[in-house]
Amino acid sequence: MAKSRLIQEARRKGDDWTEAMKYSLSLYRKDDLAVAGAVILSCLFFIAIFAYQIAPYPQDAYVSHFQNRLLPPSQTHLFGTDEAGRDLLSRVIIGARISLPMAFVIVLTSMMFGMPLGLIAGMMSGKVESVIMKLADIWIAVPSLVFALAVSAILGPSLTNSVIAIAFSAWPWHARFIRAEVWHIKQETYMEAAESIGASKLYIAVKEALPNALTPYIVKITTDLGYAILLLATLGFLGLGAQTPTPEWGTIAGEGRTFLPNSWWISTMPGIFIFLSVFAFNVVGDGLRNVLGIEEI
Amino acid sequence: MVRKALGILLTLFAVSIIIFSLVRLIPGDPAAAALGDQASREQIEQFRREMGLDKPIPQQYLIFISSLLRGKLGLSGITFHDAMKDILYYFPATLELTLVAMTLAFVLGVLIGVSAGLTENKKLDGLLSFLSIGGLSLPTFLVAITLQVIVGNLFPSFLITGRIGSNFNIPRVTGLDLIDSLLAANSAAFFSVLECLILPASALMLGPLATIMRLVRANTLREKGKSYIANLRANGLPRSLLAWRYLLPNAVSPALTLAGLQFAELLGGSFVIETIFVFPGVGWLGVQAMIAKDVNMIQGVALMAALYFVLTNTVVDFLHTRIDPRIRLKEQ
Amino acid sequence: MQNGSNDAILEIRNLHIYLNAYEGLAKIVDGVNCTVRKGEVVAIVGESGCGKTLTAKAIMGILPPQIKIEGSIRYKGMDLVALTEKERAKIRGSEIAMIPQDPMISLDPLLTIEDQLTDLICFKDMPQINIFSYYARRSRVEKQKGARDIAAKILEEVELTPPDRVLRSYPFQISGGMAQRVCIAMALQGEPSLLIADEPGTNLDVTTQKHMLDLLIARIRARHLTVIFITHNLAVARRIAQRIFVMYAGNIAEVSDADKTFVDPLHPYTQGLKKAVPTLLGTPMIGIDGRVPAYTNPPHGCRFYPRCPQAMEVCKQKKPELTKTKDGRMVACHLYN
Repeated sequence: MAKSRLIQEARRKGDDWTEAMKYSLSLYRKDDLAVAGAVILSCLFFIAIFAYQIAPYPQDAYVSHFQNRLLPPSQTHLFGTDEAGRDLLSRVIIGARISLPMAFVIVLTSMMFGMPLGLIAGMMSGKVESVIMKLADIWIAVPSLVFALAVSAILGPSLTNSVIAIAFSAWPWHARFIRAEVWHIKQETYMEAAESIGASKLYIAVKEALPNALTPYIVKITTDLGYAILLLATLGFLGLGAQTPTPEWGTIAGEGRTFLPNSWWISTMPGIFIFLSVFAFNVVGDGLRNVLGIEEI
Repeated sequence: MVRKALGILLTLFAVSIIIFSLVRLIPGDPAAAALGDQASREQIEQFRREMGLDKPIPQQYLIFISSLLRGKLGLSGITFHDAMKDILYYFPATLELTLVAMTLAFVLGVLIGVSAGLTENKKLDGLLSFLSIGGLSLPTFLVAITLQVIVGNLFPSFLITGRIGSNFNIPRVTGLDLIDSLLAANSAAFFSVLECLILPASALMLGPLATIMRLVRANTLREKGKSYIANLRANGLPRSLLAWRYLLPNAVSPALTLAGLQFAELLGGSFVIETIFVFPGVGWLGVQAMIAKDVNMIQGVALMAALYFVLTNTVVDFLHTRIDPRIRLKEQ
Repeated sequence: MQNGSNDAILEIRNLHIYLNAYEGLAKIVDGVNCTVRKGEVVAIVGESGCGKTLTAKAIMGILPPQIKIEGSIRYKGMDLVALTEKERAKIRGSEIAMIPQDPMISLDPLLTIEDQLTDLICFKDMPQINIFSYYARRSRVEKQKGARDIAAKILEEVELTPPDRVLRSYPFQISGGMAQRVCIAMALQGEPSLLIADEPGTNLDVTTQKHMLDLLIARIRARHLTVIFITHNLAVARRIAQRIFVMYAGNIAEVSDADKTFVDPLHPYTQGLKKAVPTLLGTPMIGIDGRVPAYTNPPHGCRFYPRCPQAMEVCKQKKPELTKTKDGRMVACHLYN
């Protein structure tokens, strides 16, 4: 009955969640790609937390040394230097402190708006549901990048504004998702069955509805985190996101654009890091999806 | 039919309200933002008057809608003619680019997806899955600049910017250079257009290709085990026929909605690609407008994007009825 | 009815079917022997999960690649297991055909009945057909074989008259009973010698099921078909078959003449099956306690041991072989050794 394998396992072992978690973990470990993703993510988080300790030239996040301008990768500067002589490796490392946390802020903000709206729409149905869903449908009509670019441009490009803009563009997807999940659960016959034997709506909601809705949601969130990093970087690249000298990965790449193809490292290195983080998030999301036994949409 | 058209119009109106409100109600003065820090108060005031920003907001909206119905979006701060004119001028280039990219993404996505789903070679399937996750994780700008740099270095004479070689001048009939060059019977121009399209389209199509391929592969795996496939196979239908005539449409049909969404996202991607490849389309125009805070142009571009999306969905709905008889006939 | 093993059209010897499941190796079909003579109608009776559908699929050669087979399946002397996919494909439809269990999901939802039926008629012996050659050849082949007429005629044979309406329809537009008949038509169009019916009509209501069985019996007789009829219902098996193979957990438990199996079941499992059949007098139906064993860890000796009301010590240790009784019946049970 329950949608995800995790919940089935837990039920089978008598609602023992620790056992079920262990089982899921053992399944996850078998998936090489998913493990690799988790490892990459852990490394990235580690780098972000200890950025100022790890970076060889931590002050270079903001300080310029024009005499070292545009040096190619070498032993002293593993990623080379940028147009202001700053060590690129350090900037990219410190950039992790921006991209990763901000991705979470973006997704959490979207959730804060989208989830309650979706819940209300799903539980209350009727006119309320139609209004909310219509609003979401209309909001989606403008592609997320275009929306985020426009809002960021008008607010005035900055890191904060781009985070707000991206979060603002994504809430309808959360609302839709949650409302669809609530719908599915309402349809399940075991809801009626439970109600008929006297279980209160709240009990059903907590014991059955919530766990079943949350598991696919977790997968969606991981993918969203990756997508948030991409959007943030794209905005930065175009000059409409974090502004120089903030070492956001996309912004750094954007700065380096004028120096292509000779000083190719400035745009490429942050790009690779962006790719690695998005890849890791996606792969982890996939692994979770397989482990939790959720069907691909 | 009529109801559908009305629905589209209603959606567009609603979108225009949202865009309009966002632009007007967001903190910050668009006039001051557009003119920059150096502008004096009088200049800002004059600009506001010219843009009509001094009037009450509902009135502004009415003016906006009435001029929209007459085909005008308002004065653009960067081109100094009406924004609608520029958008219409640059739109065909983007349309051409996105259509080419989407066709490639869809066709390749379906072919690779079905093959991956049907193959018994586990290693190949694993590799394809791996590559597809990679494909949708790559930032578009990185792919674009990498292609530009590498191809530019390997083939110095290869065109890596613009829409067509600068020595060509073909009369503009449809605005789609591929077609116009054929109409002008200029095959050299045609190939020049293709040359300019290859890199941007390749960079653009990568994400949607990966997404479509993954979904089609998953659908194929699901359909493969279904009873009708086993039944027809058991009674003698050859596997090759089963694969493309029976399994493929069933696997692709649920992916159409996703394909439509990808097409709309492509428009967003074109903003980046056109900027990098200096491809004169709406995306490139849009980025310029946003950097310059050209309010009317930004509004126009956003509205156009919404129209694009709505039309795409209509086409997808139509395709659905053509492929799936249950949808087509149940409505009667 | 002919006698003599030269007339055996299908001989299954020591068939094992297994697969690698997450929990270990699942040995589902564990050494099945079965002979079907030409013109015979045999039934394989057993509950869900006993491996009867797997055996049917093994004969057709449509098992997914992760399921492995050992043993031999001889059709008219040829060992099917040893053939290549290409050779097996030639046999499907024209020599051996299959009627599926649930007709509503056994037809492609996006194509008309006519499309699917004529595709079968025209292209079943053309292994390499791609999208271009299909459309190029289609009209020519159709005319050549008079495919549409054959389709119409075969639908009439399964009592779908007038056939045009059904031909023009999509699967979702016809009823379950009609779909079942279409599936029968699909199996018959190739003029096969051997027909495998996998629990046909189980998903239909009882009246429709009866009509369908009547039709099947008539067609089988008219075409002198050899049939393997798979079912979980002993009474249906008795009605349609001459011999019954009772199957439990991947093993044949008993083989006898249909009437004898029903009237005097030897194996305890068959006895349980009989008790579970609803009777006219409304005597209570008694099920058999327990479940089919987990194939990854099946019982050591007789696989029915845990559920058998007449179990003995030896049943736990040693697996009973299928042996002949005095009156020519076969049973795999220590009670009769």
